[in-house]
Amino acid sequence: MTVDPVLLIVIPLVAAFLVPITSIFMKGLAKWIPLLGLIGMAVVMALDFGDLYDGPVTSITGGFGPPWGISIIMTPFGGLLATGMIGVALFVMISEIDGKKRAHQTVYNTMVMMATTGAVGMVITGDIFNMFVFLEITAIAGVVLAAIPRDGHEKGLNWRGAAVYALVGGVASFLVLAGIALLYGATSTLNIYQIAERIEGVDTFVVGAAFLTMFIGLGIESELFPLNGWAPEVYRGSKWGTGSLFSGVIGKAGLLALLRISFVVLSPGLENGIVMDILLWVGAATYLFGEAAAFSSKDLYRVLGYSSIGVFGLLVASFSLGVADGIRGGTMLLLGHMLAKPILFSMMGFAGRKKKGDVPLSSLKGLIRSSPSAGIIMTIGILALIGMPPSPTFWGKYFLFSAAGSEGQWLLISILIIGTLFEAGYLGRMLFNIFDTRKERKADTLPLARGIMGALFVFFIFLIGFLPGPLEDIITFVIAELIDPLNYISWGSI
Amino acid sequence: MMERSTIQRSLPALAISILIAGTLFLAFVEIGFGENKVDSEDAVANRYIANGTTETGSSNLVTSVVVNYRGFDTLGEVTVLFLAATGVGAMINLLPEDGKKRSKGPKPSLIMTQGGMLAIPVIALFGTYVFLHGHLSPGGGFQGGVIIATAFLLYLIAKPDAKTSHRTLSLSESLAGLSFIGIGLIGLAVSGIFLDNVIEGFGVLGELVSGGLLPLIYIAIGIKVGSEMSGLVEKMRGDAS
Repeated sequence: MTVDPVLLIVIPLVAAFLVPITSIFMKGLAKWIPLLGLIGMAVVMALDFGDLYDGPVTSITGGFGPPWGISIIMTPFGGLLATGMIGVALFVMISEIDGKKRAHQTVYNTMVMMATTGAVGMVITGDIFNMFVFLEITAIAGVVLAAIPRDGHEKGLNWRGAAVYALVGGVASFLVLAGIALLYGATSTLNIYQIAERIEGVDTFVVGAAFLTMFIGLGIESELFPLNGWAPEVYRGSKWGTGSLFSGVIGKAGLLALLRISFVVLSPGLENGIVMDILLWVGAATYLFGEAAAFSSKDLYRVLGYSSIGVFGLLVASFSLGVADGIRGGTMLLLGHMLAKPILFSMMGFAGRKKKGDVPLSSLKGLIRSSPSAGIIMTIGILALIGMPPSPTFWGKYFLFSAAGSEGQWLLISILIIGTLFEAGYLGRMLFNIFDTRKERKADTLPLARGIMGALFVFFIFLIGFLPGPLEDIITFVIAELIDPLNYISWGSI
Repeated sequence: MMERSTIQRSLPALAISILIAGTLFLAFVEIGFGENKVDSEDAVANRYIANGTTETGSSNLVTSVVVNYRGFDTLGEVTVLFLAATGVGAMINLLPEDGKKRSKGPKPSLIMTQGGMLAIPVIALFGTYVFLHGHLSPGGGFQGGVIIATAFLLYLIAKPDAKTSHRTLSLSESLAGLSFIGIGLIGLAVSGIFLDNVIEGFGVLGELVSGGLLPLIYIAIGIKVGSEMSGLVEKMRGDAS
């Protein structure tokens, strides 16, 4: 059944505008309006998901078809990612239903929903300026999310994280806008498919300049090395849910935008393969940097933050190999990360909730005894993140290694192995602490909602791990989108 | 010593900034901004200029692009403003108590109070005029809304102790936002296209009643932006001690 995908944006906007009214008349209800908005998005996505097996789901707005009006082109890749993003946001919001009163919950929930709306908008829109508008929405919601302090730290704002992200995100937005202006000036259109169609007639220097600005701008959003100095500042002082959103939703939207603009739009206008080479090695460097930094960090929030940076690098590298197996691997890694990382953030946030400031590794000590369900869920999350079979990450790394091998990329393979060793190092330390029961610890019950959401994501990890087959049809479209720009061009010209 | 190390650390950043700025400058020179790069009927701008008035019913071309062709973007921009205002409000709420106290400025002079009271209705009327005529003359919802908010600001300067109702502002802001979406949904219900201007031929081109749904959207935006910016000004003034 097809529902107009524009509702993926309209429903959360209605919810957002309803929040202030509800705060006036039914104060207790206001914080749950965003949850209703997210559920609405999930319903639309569920109704449209089946259609993604036949190709993109499209829609137009304003009454004019592309390129005159703004169109929505939800490609199977965009749809898959949007589904994951909505899932992560629901995970974050539902996990906090435990009857406890938290300060700033209404604003927090609203921003979780809006960051997700912006991210979903970025991946489903067919118009490059519209993408920028959604980037702004995501970035502003991100700043507010970064500012909201953790539970128990209500006194202070996370000024550092918020200010750093506001500044750097502002620069990123400006650069993306400058790149869009260049592309519009050079092609007289804002529609992504039409820019892709006309890019070959544009001067190489102009395309190169557009790539430079887009790469820096979207590279900042997707936490690529060396553009990610802001990210640890956000992760270290904000709530666990904010960390999950930055790694699972906001950064992923930047990633897809970067991939789409690089491969579909700009690459045909530049020297053969240079875009892919740049992204491949920036990705590899990011992977190495992120995993090494995670390995040497003491604070668990930072460990998980750096680990997400590493995964962003791994994703960029595998999508940029330019072969089907690389993209197949990248898609599986993407799903694996979106499922495993929120679990780790959530359980870590639970185990370290009484700590003021940094959360040391030792706060996981004996978790399996004090709270067995949290211990088990976190263990599965850790194993899934490193790629134990059966998990999506296992399939992802399997395809990535075979793609890199068949391309003869031995340097890349060595980087992957070194990165994986770092990963095994810090994740192993976490496991060791979870199962270290030498010291008695008071029993600690995992709140029900948090446990259910954790178990649900564990279920999805096993589901995709055991049965990756049904995803293959969608992945075929992902490969088609990224390998041959003509496919996106034909989808876009509805 | 301190200073030198700061300068040394900033040098690479400066070099990168100059490189990016230079590249952008050269690229913008290269494309020749505003020239026709494609056949003229393939450039979106030319289509807007040729058909904008007849297709949207708005005699202000900027409005036809902002509210109709690219109305979805405008909904996004309204949301950006909403989030920014909510975010600033939330951060002010997160401040420690003494940071929220209203500071006592100098008492406004007689000229300020009396002159302000004379000017406020005129400014508010002008703001309303600007957003009501958005589809006919330069201006529109955003501009009109900001003008109205300046009247509110002037009021707070002239009468620093005036009581204001944050509830009313926040209510009108929300309702205006919902109206914008509601007008968009009319299109979805009638023609299956969100924000479709389903009655674009309604009224006489160039008169106040024309442009179909566009003036209604601009009225919603005007009210929304006006109450949002006023609300922001009101928030920043701090709590009464």
